[in-house]
Amino acid sequence: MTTSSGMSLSSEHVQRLLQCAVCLERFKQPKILPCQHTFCLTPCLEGLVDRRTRSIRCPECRADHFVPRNGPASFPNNLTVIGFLELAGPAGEAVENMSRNQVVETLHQSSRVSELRRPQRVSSPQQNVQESAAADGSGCAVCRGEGRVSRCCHCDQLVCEECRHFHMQQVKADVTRMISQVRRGLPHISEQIIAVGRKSSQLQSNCEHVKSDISEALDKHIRELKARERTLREDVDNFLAGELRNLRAYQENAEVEIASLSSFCDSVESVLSMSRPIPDGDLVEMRGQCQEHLESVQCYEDGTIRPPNVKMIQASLESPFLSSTISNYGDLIITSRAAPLRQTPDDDPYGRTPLPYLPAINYNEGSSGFSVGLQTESRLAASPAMSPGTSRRLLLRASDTSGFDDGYQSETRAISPFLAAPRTQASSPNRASQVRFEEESRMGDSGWANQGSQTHRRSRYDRRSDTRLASLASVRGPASSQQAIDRTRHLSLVTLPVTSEFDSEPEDSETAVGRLIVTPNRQEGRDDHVGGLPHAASFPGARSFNFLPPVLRISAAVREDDESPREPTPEFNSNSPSLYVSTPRNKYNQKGTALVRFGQRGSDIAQFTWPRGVSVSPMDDSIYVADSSNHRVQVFDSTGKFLKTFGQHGQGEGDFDCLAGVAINGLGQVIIADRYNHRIQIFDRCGRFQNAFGSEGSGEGQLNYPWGLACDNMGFIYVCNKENHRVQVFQSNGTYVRMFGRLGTRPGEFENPHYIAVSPDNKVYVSDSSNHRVQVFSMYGDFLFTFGTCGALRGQMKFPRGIAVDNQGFVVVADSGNNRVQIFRADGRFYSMFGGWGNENGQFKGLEGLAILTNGNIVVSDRENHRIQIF
Amino acid sequence: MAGLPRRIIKETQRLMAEPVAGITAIPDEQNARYFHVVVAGPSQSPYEGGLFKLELFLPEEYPMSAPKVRFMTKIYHPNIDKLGRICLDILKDKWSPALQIRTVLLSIQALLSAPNPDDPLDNSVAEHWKTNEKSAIDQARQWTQLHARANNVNSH
Repeated sequence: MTTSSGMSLSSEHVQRLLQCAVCLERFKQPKILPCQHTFCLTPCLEGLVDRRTRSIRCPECRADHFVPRNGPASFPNNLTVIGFLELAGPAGEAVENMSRNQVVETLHQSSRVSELRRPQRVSSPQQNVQESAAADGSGCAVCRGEGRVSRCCHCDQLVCEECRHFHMQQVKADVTRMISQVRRGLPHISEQIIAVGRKSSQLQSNCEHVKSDISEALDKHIRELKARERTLREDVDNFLAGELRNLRAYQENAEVEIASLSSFCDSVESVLSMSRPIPDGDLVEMRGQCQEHLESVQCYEDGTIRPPNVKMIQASLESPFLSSTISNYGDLIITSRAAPLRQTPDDDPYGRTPLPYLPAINYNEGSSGFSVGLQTESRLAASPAMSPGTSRRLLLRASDTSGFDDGYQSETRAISPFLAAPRTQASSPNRASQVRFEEESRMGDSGWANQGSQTHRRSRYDRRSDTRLASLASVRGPASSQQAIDRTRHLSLVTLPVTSEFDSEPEDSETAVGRLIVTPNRQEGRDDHVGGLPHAASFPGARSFNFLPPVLRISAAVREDDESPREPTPEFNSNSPSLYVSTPRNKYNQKGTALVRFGQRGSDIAQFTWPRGVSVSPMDDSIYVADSSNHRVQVFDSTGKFLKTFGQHGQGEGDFDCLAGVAINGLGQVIIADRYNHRIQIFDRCGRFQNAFGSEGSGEGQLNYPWGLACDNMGFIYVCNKENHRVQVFQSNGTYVRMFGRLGTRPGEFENPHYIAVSPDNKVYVSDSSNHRVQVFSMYGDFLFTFGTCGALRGQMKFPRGIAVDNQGFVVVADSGNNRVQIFRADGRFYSMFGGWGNENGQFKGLEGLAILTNGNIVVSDRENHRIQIF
Repeated sequence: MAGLPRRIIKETQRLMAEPVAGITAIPDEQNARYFHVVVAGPSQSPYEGGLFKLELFLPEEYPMSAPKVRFMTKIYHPNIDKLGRICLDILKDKWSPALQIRTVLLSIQALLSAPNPDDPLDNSVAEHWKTNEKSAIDQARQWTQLHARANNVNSH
């Protein structure tokens, strides 16, 4: 730009004077107006003519002039200006180029200034200018000069040498600026690197923490198992010692007998062999003695006196529940936090997880985990199933404790027969690991068991016959509360016998609203074995239970958007496990294609005519299908291989008439809703008829087209009574317990309830079909909440039928009217769905029952397609 | 859009090359006829210290018809209504093709210095101005502090 320095102000001024004020160009055909102002003829003056008034207003002074007849061209030429234009000539051009150059440069500078404020506006005027010029396609794209042009390698425009020079300088400046921007950005990246390092170390420590917690929890259970092992072995030893003592006593008796008999024989023989006559009296006496001895020998001979029978002992250690519990034991919950730094230690997830049911163990105590973007929360569903306390029952230990138990027992029963069940279960021999003493001896239980325990044992057996199912089926914990400090592990969601805990925290009574808190008085026994464990913190002496009436909190139930259940809330329904579970273990959102399909219309083996209810046996994962119009149950393994069938049409025992629902309880008993016979039938696990109950009617215990049914983990049978619009509850032997619901559309009322399911935490989910919703009740029949409305959108449903709850609490609903399967969280929030109408893979026509296999696959009864699909 | 008239190019270049004190006018990236304008409140006026954001659009007929200008920043002024429209003769009937963006913006700056309540656009403000000029000026100053503070404008 050396030339610009030679630019004189006067020549620039001349250029200014030779510029039209309207077009800002050098004058072309300059015309002078009467007011002495000069403008170009075209387009400036011509554009200014007001055609209507045939006048022109001077842009400079706003004077109005009449336009001559021939238009503005008739205005006189400004000869002075023309002379100057000719004079300036090429020099003028040069000057103009100079000035433009200067302009462009300053433009560049000013745009740099503006860039500092608005970085996005990088040389935008320049680009605009270029674009517009390029549109014209004449000469330099920037200055439109007619000079030599070449293509810019940066922006692909045709530009003249000078503009290019300037442009390249601009590019250079851009490069400089961008470099400095990059440099400014570098520290952020290194900060991020540091942050990532920090995060990874925090993640590592977090994971280490979790691992140590896992080991700690498992160690505890291993210790419990060891303790249990010790107990069982001691029991066996005790038993052995007692039996040996018996045997030895018998042996000693017999030896004494032999000795005395043989010595008697010897002495009598010696007397007889003596030649000396025997007095008559002595002889008679000897005979009498002989007679006696003979009798006693005969006692041995004829079996009146027999060696004590050897009692058999065997260990019953089979427990499908335990192994399935172990394999499902523990949950790792991974959560990520978007704004970690805002977290304060007060935001500790304990506050967020106040719910008592869950054995949530939080591995993020303190704030350390929160400064990390990704926070891993772990929850271990721990189970004290093996708690050695229950073993005291077997030991038949001190009579005073059993007395206590009995006292407690009766107390419990007095309040509610229902309450007895968990207690009974708790006090009955632990089926998870049970030593069964089979007494074959007629001599009673004098042997190894002490006197005080006899009555207890008898009562136990009595009880067992009462609630034999309850004693074997698992009971999931009534409420137990999570304690952050103790990190108490509670029982898992999976079926296991209960140990419930009583915590002294005041809020526990709140969190346990609607739940039965049974205070285990086996604390002492447990302390013997595992003293010092957190469980010992529970009241050892408290032998009371709280039974607070279930509270209806509908508002809380639908409080699904509440992000912060941070306060320990006493809501009943919020105890649902899945509130914590971020992702279902069963990958529901990946379902939609059937893994297995089997069945077609027909009455042969593995064919169906309108299959309805399905159920999965907890014993062996086999699938029971109510083949409704073939009036039979068909059993398949979890891959769809036919196993067996039972039942035929009729009204007799083991006959069916259009059966609908199937359920299988913890004993493997198969419970069938025999629909047109208005009864429930119970079969053993081999398909042999055991029991039937119910008759047509609307009274207590009477049924009217029973449809779906379910068992809770205590063996109670919940029956959807479709035409009576209610749910009835029976004991496992068919004894009527209670019912709830009636015809209606309000909460707690039904219209044609079809299927029913019981969640692991004993909530009862009913598909209220004609009301197009799912209603949730407590196990006592108290309405908790409802979800679903009529419709085809997500979370809506039409005539919902089959329903199942997985062990994380996710609810699977057969949305029959929409021919799809929907999955909800335990609180009723929609999670995912799949399926549509049709007979292809993953399509349905008329859904009926569904069930969940142990591996999380969903078994769906596809009625009108007469088949079963597994997803 | 048809090619940008050379006049607009020239004006733009000159605006950037020889900026007016207290005024920046930057063409929009997408539309060269649209300008983002910031006018500094003139000293000795109630708008002193404020940076007022305006939008300026050059219609198709420009320069034969006036540019369209509007205040984006709220301002308490008798000749500017609450939508930011400006009552200024050169933007209406007194437009002349000899005027330029630069001159228009200078006129607006001058209008800030010399409110004209006798030719009001916002009657209530004008009334306020006429009945109690001191209080009106205080109000204008307050609004300037409230809406036209320098950092506000940049953050828009």
